[in-house]
Amino acid sequence: MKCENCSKKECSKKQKNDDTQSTSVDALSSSDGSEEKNEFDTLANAKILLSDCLACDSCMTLEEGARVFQQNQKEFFRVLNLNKKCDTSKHKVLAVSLCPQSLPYFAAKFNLSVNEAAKRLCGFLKSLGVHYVFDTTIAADFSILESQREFVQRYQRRNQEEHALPMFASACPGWIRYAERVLTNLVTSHICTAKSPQQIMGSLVKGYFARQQNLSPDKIFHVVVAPCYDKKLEALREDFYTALYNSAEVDCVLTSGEIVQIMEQNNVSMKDVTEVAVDSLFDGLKEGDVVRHDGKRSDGYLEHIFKHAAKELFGVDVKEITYKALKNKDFQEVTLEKDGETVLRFAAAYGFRNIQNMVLKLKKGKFFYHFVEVLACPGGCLNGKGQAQSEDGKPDRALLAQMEEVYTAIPARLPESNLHVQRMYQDWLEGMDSKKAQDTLHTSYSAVNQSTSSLDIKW
Amino acid sequence: MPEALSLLCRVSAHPESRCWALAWSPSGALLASCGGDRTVRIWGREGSGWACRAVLADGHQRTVRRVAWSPCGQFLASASFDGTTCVWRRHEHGFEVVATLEGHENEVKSVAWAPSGSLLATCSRDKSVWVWEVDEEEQEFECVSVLSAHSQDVKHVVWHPSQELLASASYDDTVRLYREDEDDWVCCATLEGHTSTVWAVAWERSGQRLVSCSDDRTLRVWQR
Repeated sequence: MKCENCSKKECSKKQKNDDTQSTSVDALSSSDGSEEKNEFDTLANAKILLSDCLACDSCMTLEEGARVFQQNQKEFFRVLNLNKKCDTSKHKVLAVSLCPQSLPYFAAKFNLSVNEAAKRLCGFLKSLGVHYVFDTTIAADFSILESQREFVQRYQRRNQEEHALPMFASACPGWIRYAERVLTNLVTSHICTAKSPQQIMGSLVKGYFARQQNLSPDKIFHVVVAPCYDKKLEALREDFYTALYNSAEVDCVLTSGEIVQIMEQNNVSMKDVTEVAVDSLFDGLKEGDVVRHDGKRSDGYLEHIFKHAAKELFGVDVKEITYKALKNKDFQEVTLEKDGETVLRFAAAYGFRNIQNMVLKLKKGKFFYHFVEVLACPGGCLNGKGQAQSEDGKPDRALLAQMEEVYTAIPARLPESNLHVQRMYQDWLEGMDSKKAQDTLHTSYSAVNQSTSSLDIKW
Repeated sequence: MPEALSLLCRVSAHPESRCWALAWSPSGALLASCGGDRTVRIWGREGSGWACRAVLADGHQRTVRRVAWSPCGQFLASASFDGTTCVWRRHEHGFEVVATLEGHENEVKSVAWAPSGSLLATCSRDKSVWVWEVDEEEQEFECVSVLSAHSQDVKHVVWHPSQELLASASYDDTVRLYREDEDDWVCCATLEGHTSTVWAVAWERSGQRLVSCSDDRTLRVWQR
């Protein structure tokens, strides 16, 4: 293991990490003894492939690394197995929420339609003992609606408040963690406070759904199937809700790849699994066909916020959005012209290098976008390291192209048209502008400054 | 020995501190040095000796580890343990900072200009190699790629003499090569063989061979 502050000749090369391919969790240096060595080895061998945003040691503590690692198959099966034992006090209701960016992976990998993939995945999980399988699109609906409203409010405050604009998207945990741990308040004050779909799903399952089912939140074990490992770190995020319920909103995140591993280990082929309709949060109702939000490779924030802002602020109805790729295909620009003037300037910045450039321009005061959809992974969430990597750790371009095709073919639906969401705002959240809605659907970010060593290294 | 070199002069370059690196300007008229006193110094011939023409202070908060001249000789890059790389532009009366490249997590160990002058590479103890694109007019530098192929501290980066091919040397005992692939940079080769830290690499002028030196007390010459 790399010894961060090593200045000794004896720093043992024997401990070096063999794995040079993936950006694995390189556990923090320790000048302590053998106790911590075992944990280091475990993390390194686990090949937890975090995004480039989390590649260095500032972004994750050793303790967090251990908790990220714990979110694995073993944990999942531990809970499933406890359900089979007699001690009912240890029984839990197992709920698995599927991310919309994970479904195209299963569909492309097994040559299924996205609806077949969803239903078979549901069938497989239920055959293992999972009680409910949900789709997180409804949580994304809430997240997008809140983000839209927040953008409009920030835009209206732009001359009074320094940090109102640009607004940065908040759904990507790699980006958020990087911003909080490495960047300063200069950046975090610009991040949209709406919670990510995963966090909202946590509140929906442990709050709304638990109440409907007369269950206490700690009786539900909530698993999320996600396209990346960064989501495991996000699951550790604490909120007032966590304290309120004394239970994490998301107990375990498993990547799409880990689910496939479970299938392989159980000798199950997707072809042979029976299709079972995906559940909804509403008693007895099953989910219909899979829908998605607009947006080519992304989770839809840019598209929906742009269209909403164009309408609300300028009275313009935008039907189709034209993207202009700038320096590289992961930095794209979208503008709204009105009466010959550019009134809105949005951007999509994916991947570490584009995030760097964005931050540098922001620091220099040369950043002229109103909103940026920021994602840690080039190519967007479909290219998350929990699904699109081939054996040698390189992105599987063919599979990615297939996934994009599958994703684009899914019919898009506006979050505004989800009647369940409207109803929940009224019934569960006591209104769109209520304190409950604010507390449940928003969070806050803070820049944490790590102490830096000021000692000059000897070499 | 007829090919031996004889000492011309001895200069006390960085008072009370280590002089870490040197670089001749492309024309050979100037010599840049950098050191533990956080400065970069420019030296020129004066009579039979060398005199200090400029002291570039206030650029860095910590040791300056490496300096590199742009191929045109108008710019000088300085890489520092403070995590930043400054780009200085030369003008009549001295040098001024035109850009500060930030982003590395910790100490920057090396900086190098591509032969075309339009790309710059930096590497750091944070294990990554960054490629920057130079916009000479705007004097803007944009990050084009962040390469995290090495598993340990990266000590040195050097560009191929004529191609946009980059080599890096690391504490992980390997040398890696990088080139552009579609719209991003990738590590296209890993040279294994050294059994300890590779401290530096150098390309032969024709670009056919590369030599690396290591803590394992060997020099290795590599060929395609």
